[in-house]
Amino acid sequence: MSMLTETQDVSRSIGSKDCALCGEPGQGIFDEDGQEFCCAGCRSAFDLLKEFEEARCSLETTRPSFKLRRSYEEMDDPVFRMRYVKVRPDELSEVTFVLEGLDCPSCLGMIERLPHYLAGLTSARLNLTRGTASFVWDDSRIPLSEIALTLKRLGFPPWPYERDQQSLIAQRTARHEMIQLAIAGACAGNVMLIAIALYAGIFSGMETAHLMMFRYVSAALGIVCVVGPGRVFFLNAIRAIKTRTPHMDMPVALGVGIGTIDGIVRTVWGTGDIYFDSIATLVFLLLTGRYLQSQQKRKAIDRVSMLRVLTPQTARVVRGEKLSVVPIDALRLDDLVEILPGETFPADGVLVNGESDVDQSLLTGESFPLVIQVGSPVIAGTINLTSPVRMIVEQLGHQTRLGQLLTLVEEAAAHKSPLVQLTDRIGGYFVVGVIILAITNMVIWWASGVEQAIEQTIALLIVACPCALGLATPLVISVFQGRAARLGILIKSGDAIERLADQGEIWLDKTGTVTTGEMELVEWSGDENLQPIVCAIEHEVSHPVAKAIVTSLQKRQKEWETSAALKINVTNLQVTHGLGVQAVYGEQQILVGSRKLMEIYQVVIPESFDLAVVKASSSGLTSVFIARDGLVVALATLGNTLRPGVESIVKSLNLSGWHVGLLSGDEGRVVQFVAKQIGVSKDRALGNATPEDKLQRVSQKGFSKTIVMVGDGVNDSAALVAADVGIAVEGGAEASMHAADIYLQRGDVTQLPMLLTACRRVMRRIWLNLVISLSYNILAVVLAMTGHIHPLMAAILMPISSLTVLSVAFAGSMFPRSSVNTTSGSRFATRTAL
Amino acid sequence: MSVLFIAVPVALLLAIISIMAFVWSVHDGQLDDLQTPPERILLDENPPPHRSRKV
Repeated sequence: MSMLTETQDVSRSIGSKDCALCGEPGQGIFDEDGQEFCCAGCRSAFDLLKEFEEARCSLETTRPSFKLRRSYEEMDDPVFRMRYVKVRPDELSEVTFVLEGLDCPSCLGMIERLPHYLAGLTSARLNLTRGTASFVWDDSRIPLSEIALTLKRLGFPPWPYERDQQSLIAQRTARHEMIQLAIAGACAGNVMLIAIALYAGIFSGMETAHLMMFRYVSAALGIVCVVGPGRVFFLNAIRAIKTRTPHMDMPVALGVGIGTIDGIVRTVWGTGDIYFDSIATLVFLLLTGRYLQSQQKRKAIDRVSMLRVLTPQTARVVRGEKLSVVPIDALRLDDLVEILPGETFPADGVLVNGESDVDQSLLTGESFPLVIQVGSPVIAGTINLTSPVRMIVEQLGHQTRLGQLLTLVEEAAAHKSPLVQLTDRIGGYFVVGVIILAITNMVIWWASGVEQAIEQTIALLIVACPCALGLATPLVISVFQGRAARLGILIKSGDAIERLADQGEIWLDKTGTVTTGEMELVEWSGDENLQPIVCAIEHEVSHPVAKAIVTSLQKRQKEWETSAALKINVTNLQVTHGLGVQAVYGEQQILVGSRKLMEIYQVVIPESFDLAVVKASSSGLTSVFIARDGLVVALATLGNTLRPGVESIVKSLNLSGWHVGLLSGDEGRVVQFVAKQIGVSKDRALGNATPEDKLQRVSQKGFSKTIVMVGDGVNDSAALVAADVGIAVEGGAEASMHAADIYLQRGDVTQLPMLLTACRRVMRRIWLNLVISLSYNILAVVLAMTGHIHPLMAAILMPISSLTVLSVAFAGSMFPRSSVNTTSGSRFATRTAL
Repeated sequence: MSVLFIAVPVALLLAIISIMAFVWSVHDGQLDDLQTPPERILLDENPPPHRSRKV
């Protein structure tokens, strides 16, 4: 039995003299609240249950999206165990889950303390970077399904996790880069120490033996630094020349290469200036910038492998008389599969038994559940809502609609041309400029002697090396990512920021993005006294429309409490599937449902209601009739409600020069209606869009510089990837979140204008940084050309320029001030309770 | 000043040792996740004693 369901029994026995948990006679063991227990075990169990219950309650109010029942029993199956569970030498089992809904550090406390509360679970380790957690447990004491269930109850639905090749490679590169960075850092630090001695020697004189030793040691360290970690610059520069694309590393390789060769020659000769300290520092600082940059990219890769978990990993197959759970790979065409309520369809096929409702929102973006009966086609990835059904498998894996969509996403990702980094573009011009300057310098100084001309030119090439340039962009972007994350905006790539700073088109998905995605009561016309009774009737029905009516009515009517409504005694409840429900209240017969249900029961529909229905359906709303004793007396109109503040964001986006459009898989008239409500022009509201249509729409460049797609479902994923910038909204499918460049964690599209403003500011700051770093280079070049350069000068100039760039990156605010005030993490504050 | 001929190599040796230690820690996976440990340190090592007993 799960631990959380016991709490109701627990609270009932509070106040008795018996053990508050198990009901055995109390043994004088008390907790802080004065509850009595029979043993210390019961006391801790009680404590834990109470805390869990509190945490769960607070979570359920903040995260209402976990309404589907799931048992996770497939996790106890040997097939699952073989694939995902590792048995450790100490006979404990270990598994790694991807956890949904991990978005704040307080989740850490909740999950890592689970072993204190769940007997048999020995350790839980969270990895916030990857969004995964590893659990070690004793299989003889607790089944894995219970651990999974507890996680889900706490608001972190777990999915089995398999590391794919891509994330392993990413890890290997990360480690490699870190080691290179460490070597470069150690070399740079030590060369600098020696350089200080050398510079001091210039003024006070130094014994030749010491001088020679210092010069050789710094040459050795410099060579290690350049040949080891610095190798990457030369490789990149060669590649850039081969492919004829500009790259930041071309001027770097030029300066570092010439500086090193010159330095070696001079060390051996024993005369002349050496620049190894500047060179080593340069390599170290540039590698730091590069590390920051690839770290940003890795974040995107690490979480991407979730796409696969959209279809279940196991299926319940009926073979002969027997029902057996098989892994999804073992599923064959024409298999008979059973799907329980709350489960996901594992394949495309046809229903052969039972009737139910399916939630297709993941695939179509359509929030209204679809009624399925024997003979209806069903699609993999959609969720069975109300009752168990059986289906015959017709398409599997990549052949399914979902599989095709995911292939589409992958193709779109492969075709997206990456933005050539701003610094790389500058790097291209930079190298040409430096070479021209070097030649000019050579010509000017030729008159004063060949040797001096060469010496001056080499000095120029070294000091012109764009060190701060390499730090300028990644630093600002890293800082911005950090600050955005605090506002619940996850930015995966720096490209997105650069593209958002331009103007262009924004396409908004309707369901889930502009609207809340959940149905609500829009209007109730007719007899209001029936509301509590309707509420009581619909409470017994699991259909989503019924649920929507219940929640909206409860919200509307504060005076009659839920409990009061539940006390209303309705009898003789009969559900006609997909149509509505019939019940008896006192002497009255009450009907709640569609027009068809009214026709079946031969109910009279007054004309005024008829007109209201026509009006409602033209606005894309759904009508539910409420009839009493053969006459319709009320009409409830349901629809998707707009997210608050959407109109104002459309207005402000339009004002700042963006063209806003609506792109939806929903019916045209519904889309037009919503467009009118939020102020999107008619010709930019496109309905009936399949995922392919959406993809095509966002790939058509036209005159716009940047095309932004904002969406939430799997049906948007391909478009999110293909658009210049894809922005996913929380509350939708995790797949869309992985496809997008930016992820709005709070599901609040009203953050968009603020984000765009911030992106423009960030780009300005990046430009400022580039200008600052380039002016230092220009200053250094001027000094070199006038013959005033010296290794000491270079050693001072370079760190100063890097420091300036660093302070520009951190100084001041990036987001508009008013928006920052709304950042209270109150939504998650409850989790710190544990 | 000839102590420099000993001191400098010793300094370099220390640098090499620390790099080796760092390389080991990287390969050990200690630096793979830099986000969780700084948060983890804020958790109480052990919850209050009456909770720590296994249920």
